[in-house]
Amino acid sequence: MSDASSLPNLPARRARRHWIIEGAAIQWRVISALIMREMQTRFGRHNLGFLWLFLEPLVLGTVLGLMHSTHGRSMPGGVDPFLFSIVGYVPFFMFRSVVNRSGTALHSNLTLLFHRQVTPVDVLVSRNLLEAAAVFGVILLVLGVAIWWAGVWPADVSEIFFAMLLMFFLCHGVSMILAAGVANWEGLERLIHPVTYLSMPLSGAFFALAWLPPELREVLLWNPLVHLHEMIREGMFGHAFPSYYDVGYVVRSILIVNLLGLAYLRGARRKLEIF
Amino acid sequence: MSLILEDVWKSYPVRGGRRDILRGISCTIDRGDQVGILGRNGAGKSTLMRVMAGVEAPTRGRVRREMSISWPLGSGFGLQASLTGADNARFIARIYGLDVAETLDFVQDFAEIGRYFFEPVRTYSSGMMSRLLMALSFSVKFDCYLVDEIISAGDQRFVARCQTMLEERLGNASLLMVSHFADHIRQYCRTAVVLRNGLLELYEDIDEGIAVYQSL
Repeated sequence: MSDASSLPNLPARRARRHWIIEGAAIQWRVISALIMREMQTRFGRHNLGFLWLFLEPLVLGTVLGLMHSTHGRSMPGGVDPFLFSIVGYVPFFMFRSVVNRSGTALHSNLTLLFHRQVTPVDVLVSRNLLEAAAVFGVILLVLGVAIWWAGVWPADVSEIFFAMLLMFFLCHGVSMILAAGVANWEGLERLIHPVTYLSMPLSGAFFALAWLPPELREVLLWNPLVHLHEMIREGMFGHAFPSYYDVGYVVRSILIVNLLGLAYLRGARRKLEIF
Repeated sequence: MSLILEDVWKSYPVRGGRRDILRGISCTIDRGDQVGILGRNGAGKSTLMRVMAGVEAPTRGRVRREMSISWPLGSGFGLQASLTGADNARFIARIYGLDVAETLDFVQDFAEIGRYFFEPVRTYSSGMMSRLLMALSFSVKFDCYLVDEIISAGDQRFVARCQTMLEERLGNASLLMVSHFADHIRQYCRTAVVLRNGLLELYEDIDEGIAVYQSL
């Protein structure tokens, strides 16, 4: 009965290194494996595949931009209305998709948490990185098209990307808090979509603070997202109109949501019921 | 090289309070031990495996893992059902730091599920599922395997290959196996434990353990 000779050879394993390097290596391996897995399940191996990741925000942003430009209103500061909408909408798309997807993040990966080295934080990091990569790609495309076609040179590309980076960290922190919240109370998941939808006008994506009365401006600036949209517009249009933002306030918000998110998610690990 | 449980408690919230599933379990599994875990439905066998594997933390007490422990090997655990067997093998290879190409070869050869290797896991029969899971976990070379009912679904040839793998190729790896079939416990295990009222009762003589389980 024994057919040991017919058994296949076991695969090789990488040599172990110092525990600090090994720990970081495991983390990276897990996150990259999760990203690959996420791309396979979300976009499949057929059709346009992961191109959808780029097309979705691009198409939505373009349609909105066209609607605004055919509306024919002239923008204060003389900026191009099409460019104004798309520069507002595409970064907001990152916030919306990262936050909206956070409610289901843990449940759709629950079975993978059977592997000890896969943690809820890894799951969220990999999903959010994928989402952010798409939006970064779209932003690059938009900038490229703006330069080549409209002849508009962005005032400060590095400022745009810095603001996008801050946006990513902000979204990531919020998504960790929400994912942990859903693990504690499932009803929360139903609230995420309507709340992000209704908060769209408050996000500062579709108007410049310079157009608003100072009192309203102060109220809106409680929202760190508004600061980031102002930064992105300044990076694009320069000083065509004044921009209002405070990087220190944004960084403090990011630190708070990320620390809260990590702590909350750690507690939520016990609440997740695996079958 | 052991797996040591020290006064492990586990409770879950239920309507109107908490229910203790494990009530202070202490035991030591050494390398090479082959233990069958018996108990009625709902006795806490799968909970015990999840706590041993570190998927869930004990409510109280401590689990010391001095050897590498597999994830609990039960139907669909640790796999993505919408992906193919090959995709799952790549995923396992990546997160456990194995060579991806060699892992694919090994899993494909050991599982012997033919073209189903390239079909989504959700289309698998329970036998194919257990073949894939055992092949995946063998490729990682754990010291101790936690098997939750799945070997039972395999045929004779598969059972023999699993045994050879555990005893010869993996240098006497440990096996903890949950099964409701006395025959499978006899075939794979040397000792038996019965999980009753949240506590483990150890029987050095496997037939004695099975007799106790059958009289429950």
